[in-house]
Amino acid sequence: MMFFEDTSFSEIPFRYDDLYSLMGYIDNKTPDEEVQMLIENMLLELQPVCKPRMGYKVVRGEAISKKEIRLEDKVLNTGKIITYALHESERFAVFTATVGADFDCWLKRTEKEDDIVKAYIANTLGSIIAEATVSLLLQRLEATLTDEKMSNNYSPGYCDWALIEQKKLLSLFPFGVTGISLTESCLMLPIKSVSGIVGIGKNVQKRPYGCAICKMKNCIRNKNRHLKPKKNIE
Amino acid sequence: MTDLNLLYEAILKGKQKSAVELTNAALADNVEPKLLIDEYMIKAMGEVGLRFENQEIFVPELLMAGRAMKASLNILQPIMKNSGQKTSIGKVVIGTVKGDLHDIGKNLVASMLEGCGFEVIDIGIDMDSEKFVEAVREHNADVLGLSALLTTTMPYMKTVIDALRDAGLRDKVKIVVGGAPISAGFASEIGADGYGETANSAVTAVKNLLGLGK
Repeated sequence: MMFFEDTSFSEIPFRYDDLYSLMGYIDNKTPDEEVQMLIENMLLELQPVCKPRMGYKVVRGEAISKKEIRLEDKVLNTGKIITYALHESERFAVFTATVGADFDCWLKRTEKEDDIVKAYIANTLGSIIAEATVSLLLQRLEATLTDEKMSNNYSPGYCDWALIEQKKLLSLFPFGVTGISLTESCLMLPIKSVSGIVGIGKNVQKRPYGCAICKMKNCIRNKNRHLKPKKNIE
Repeated sequence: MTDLNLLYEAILKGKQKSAVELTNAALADNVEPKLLIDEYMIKAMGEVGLRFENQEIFVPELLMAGRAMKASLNILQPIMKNSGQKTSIGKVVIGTVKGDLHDIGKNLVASMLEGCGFEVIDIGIDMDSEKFVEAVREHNADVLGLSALLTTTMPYMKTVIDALRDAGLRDKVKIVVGGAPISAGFASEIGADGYGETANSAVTAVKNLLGLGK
């Protein structure tokens, strides 16, 4: 079963809280008035160029070891944390979501304005919109399930799933359907894109992300990422 | 006479327009550019760095302060150059390595280094080793900052370091690496001189390597 949809910014569950959190604000603090105004202006500016495309493919699969999951003829080395989180799954949905190539062009134009504040806000907005597109996609997927449950979502490059595995994940989709390509270094283009996997099954649980044991400091899902490092290491 | 404390406040609060106006007003009052930089602007950025480290302000406010500082420096530095004065405490070439298009962390570090009085030559993203070698040679850099956000691009940092060695420049420049997947262990393994886990610690590493630390 495969589903793909082009959507629009107005459909995306964009939340200011998520944006502020990604910018590092803690304890309900919010940005300076000038920053808030910039955010509003940029949100208006980006809406015509924000053309999200999202979709998933549901496939049969199973965990074949503590670190691997087999999907169709592909073995994904998802690592211990993710494999454990997905081990009760009977089916898996591999998914992609992208904010689109026009957004990338807008981002590049914004960066060329030589205003580091605007460039930062534009970049952060892109990341949040990509994640919000994933949320919308997962809502769509969840709505199709009757007596099955869905796990949290996981992506290559996060937890202990190597970024290079993105190649295998994207190869599960027919050519061209995702609107996403990979560079040699496994960077997705358009740059504001997300790929990943969720587990589906009657006994699947939404386990908390394994942030306590993961070393990624900038992970969007790591609620502790704002905690100050214990010490500065030169 | 211009109240120079207002320049300090303008930088601290990231008010670019006010910073530019106050800088011009101070120059019209014949205040020495070096005094403005050393006694007001760098001190303001020092306070910004402290507030950022203490999580009283966050990345956007930090960048706004850096933007205000840069706008004022753009007025002052040409005047200082024309009168033969030293305009920075050191030169840093910085860039994101080949295959990687991420630049937020790099920009943050660049902004904070400028705030501390360094001249920063930002060569951009997706840069191959030849570009880094060229930039270090051309600008006679004291420090090279390498950034990578991907596990697939971080090994290229070693390629850059090897290229600097091959070009006979390795002993002339200190190398600081940073980025989400980078660790102190990796930095040491590839032969970098320093590592910044955060933007602030990258600045501290640069200062310490040049003997400018507290």
